[in-house]
Amino acid sequence: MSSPTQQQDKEAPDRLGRELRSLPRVPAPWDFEARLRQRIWGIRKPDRARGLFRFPSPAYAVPAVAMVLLAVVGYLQFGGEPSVAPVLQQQSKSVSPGAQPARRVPPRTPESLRGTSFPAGERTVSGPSAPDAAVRVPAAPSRVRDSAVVSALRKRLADTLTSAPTRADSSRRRRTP
Amino acid sequence: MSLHEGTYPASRGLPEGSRAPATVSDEDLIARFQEGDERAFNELVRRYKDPLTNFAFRFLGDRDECLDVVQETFIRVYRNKHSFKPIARFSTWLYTITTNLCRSALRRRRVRAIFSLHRDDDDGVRELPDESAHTDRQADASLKAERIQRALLTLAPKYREVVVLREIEELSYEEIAAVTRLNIGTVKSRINRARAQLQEQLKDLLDD
Repeated sequence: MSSPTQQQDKEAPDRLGRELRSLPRVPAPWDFEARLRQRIWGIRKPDRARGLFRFPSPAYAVPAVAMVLLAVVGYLQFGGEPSVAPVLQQQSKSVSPGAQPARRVPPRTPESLRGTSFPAGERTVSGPSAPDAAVRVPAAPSRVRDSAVVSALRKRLADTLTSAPTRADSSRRRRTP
Repeated sequence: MSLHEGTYPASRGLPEGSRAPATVSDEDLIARFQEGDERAFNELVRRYKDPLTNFAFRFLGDRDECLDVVQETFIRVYRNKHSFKPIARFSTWLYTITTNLCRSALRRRRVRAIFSLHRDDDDGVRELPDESAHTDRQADASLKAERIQRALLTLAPKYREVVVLREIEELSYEEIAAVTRLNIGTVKSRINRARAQLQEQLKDLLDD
């Protein structure tokens, strides 16, 4: 026969166990799986990026497709007008029919003038593959400097010509002992 | 990601009429997940998210921290699915991961407490407000639960983890020994010590 105190000692752990088991259960929040999904998506993304090609996320793909559709619709509505370049090309053909289109580019250095009869500001480059054929490029700011050089060269040439002995002079010198 | 994308059938391959709920064991589910079936992982999450949350909360006493721990548990299961070997029970493996993460969280908390200027006096005990506690009886139950939780948190972590696993999660001694990697004798002695300390602290509550 056990005393009441001993019985109480035996019951105490049972009571404690019951109290512990009766504690309210703390559940996971309602968005637990959504948060987990986000985190797992973050883990899986680098795995997908390993390949050479990966499909874009729908978040990017849908706006991209929409943009392409808008561009196509815009082209079909407003894209029927001829562009400026063909018009200019036609104009240049009408000016010199049969001639190859010439492309004019600004001179880069004064050396570009040597042996040419082009004006100081511009020179032309002819070629069948010049797409911007009749586009006249404005003269570069170095035009003034080039003209100064040209005038200096002319002056020097004139000096040389005036100071150099003529053929007649030279033949006369040869005859004279 | 196929989380939430449909539920996992309880017994695949069986005729429609003979399906019984939860006949697929955890070990079968993890095996299927190891083969690449993500619905099996979703089912495991559904089965264990609440028990693990409860365990982590009773162990740590902090709601946010416990949710981080449980999330991290499932992330580790996802990442290291192939490290589970069928020689052990899946629940044991899962509780082992959670227990280790809880221990790490406690260590981090201790380090934070050392380096922080002010410390929380309540040791992170934040019982969730129960909106349904309108009656006095419910209020009493809520207060009692809070009191028990406080008493649990005064225990040393090594005692707390075993008593929570045994008394609240109702794991067997063998399972606790596997989770904590202790021998059964040590587990039993720790549980007895934890009980004695709790009885001492909750004497007036238990005598009522």
